[in-house]
Amino acid sequence: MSPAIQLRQLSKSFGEIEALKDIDLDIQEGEFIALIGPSGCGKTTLLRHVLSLETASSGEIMVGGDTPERVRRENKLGIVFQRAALVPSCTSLQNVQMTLDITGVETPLTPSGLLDEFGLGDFKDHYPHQLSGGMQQRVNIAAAMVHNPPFLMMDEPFGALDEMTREFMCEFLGEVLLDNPKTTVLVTHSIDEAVMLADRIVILAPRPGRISAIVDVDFPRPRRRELKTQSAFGEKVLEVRRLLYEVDES
Amino acid sequence: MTNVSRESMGYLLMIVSVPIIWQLAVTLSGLQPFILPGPGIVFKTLGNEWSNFLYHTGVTMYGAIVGYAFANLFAISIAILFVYMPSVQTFLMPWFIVIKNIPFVVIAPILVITLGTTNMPKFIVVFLVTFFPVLANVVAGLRAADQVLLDRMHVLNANKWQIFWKVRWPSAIPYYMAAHEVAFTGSIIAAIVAEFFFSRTGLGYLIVTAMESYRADVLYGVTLIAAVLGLSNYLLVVWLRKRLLRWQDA
Repeated sequence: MSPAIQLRQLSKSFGEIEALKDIDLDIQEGEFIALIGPSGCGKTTLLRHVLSLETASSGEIMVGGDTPERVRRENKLGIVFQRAALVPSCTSLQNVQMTLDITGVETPLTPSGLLDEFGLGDFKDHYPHQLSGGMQQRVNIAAAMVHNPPFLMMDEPFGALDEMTREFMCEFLGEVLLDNPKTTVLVTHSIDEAVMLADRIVILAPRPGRISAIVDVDFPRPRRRELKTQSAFGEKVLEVRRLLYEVDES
Repeated sequence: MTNVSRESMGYLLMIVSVPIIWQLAVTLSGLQPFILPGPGIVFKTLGNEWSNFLYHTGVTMYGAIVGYAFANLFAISIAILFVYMPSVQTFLMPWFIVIKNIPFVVIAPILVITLGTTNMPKFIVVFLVTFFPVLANVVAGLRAADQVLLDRMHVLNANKWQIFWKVRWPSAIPYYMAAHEVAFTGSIIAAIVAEFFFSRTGLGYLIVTAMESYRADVLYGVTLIAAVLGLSNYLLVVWLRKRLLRWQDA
């Protein structure tokens, strides 16, 4: 079977700056990929290509055997940004419902049911400014998933949250994805988060943005936060950290 | 005491204080009634000539509201054009800046010569005074739409119409209401000033004739009416904003 997402010699320049250069990557269906690397390595740019928010300067990108633009038009993409993309004058429920209103997709998931499942049953009629950062981000993820897209793209979704909320959200996301499997790409700055969630961690190097290493993570799922207390987890984190340092020194 | 009743108390206190301070000023200054009439004389004049005052107030309000309605209609339409077709802005902006910076008291006599003593010069003066603040604020509001939300809408394949109603317009509403606070009262000032020049009716006309015949009681009567109109306008806008932006206080 062909990979769910295929990047072939993907390059992108902004004027003189080579944001991405010759990226080759195959992502299998249902796989969870974490993109990690120093700032300016093009992680977000890579993600935005999959979302058809950017067009490549050269090379090819296929999502589900099609162009990102076509896949977007078929409403097969879900997106979670670092800052919650919620309309301030709409309640949690209305914000999640909006995804269905716009896409017109029919799914077995309902906004109300999803918010219940996300532990927000009592906050459906709250406005975003009345919710904590962690709650806002859960509404945001619900809004990104309610149309049940096969591809879920996340750009530092937990970057603005405190450490404890971040751990909770990581575990939470892992469980949600076990119930609703998706091909997922996560851009992150956190090695812990990457090891906790990913099947493979792709380490990017800057100037020009390129793949420097790929690390397999094969801890069984569901992964609970207790995993972090085990030495195997620590070793994996160390391995990724060393590779990141090599990038920095190169 | 709640904030609302506290606020109303403040207004009530002011309404009671005005005649007292006024009468004090009359007594202490010892000025003649034909220069500074007391509240008793002015209220008596208002009472005796109420139908006359009401008629001229109606004329001024009519001019202000018609001019203001057109100003809003055009300002909002052009703001939308600016945001969706920036080339229109490039073309129109120099014209607008020049027109905006010609003092409207200079334009008014030209309008009277051209259009005669119809209502048109008044409508146009009101339009010129109120159009620009509304335009500037609505443009700023439409442009202030959250980029993260716009990206989410793009990924969800939203059409321009959906993006406008769900993201851009809600973002413009607070800016639009702020423009009303200034411009709505400005429309009455503009209508009165326009009437100075040519009109045979309206509060502006009443002021001019009262000045010529040394009717200080009429002048103060008009001042009271103008103050009440301005304040009611302001309170109306504040009430409207509270209703439209209810969610902010939730």
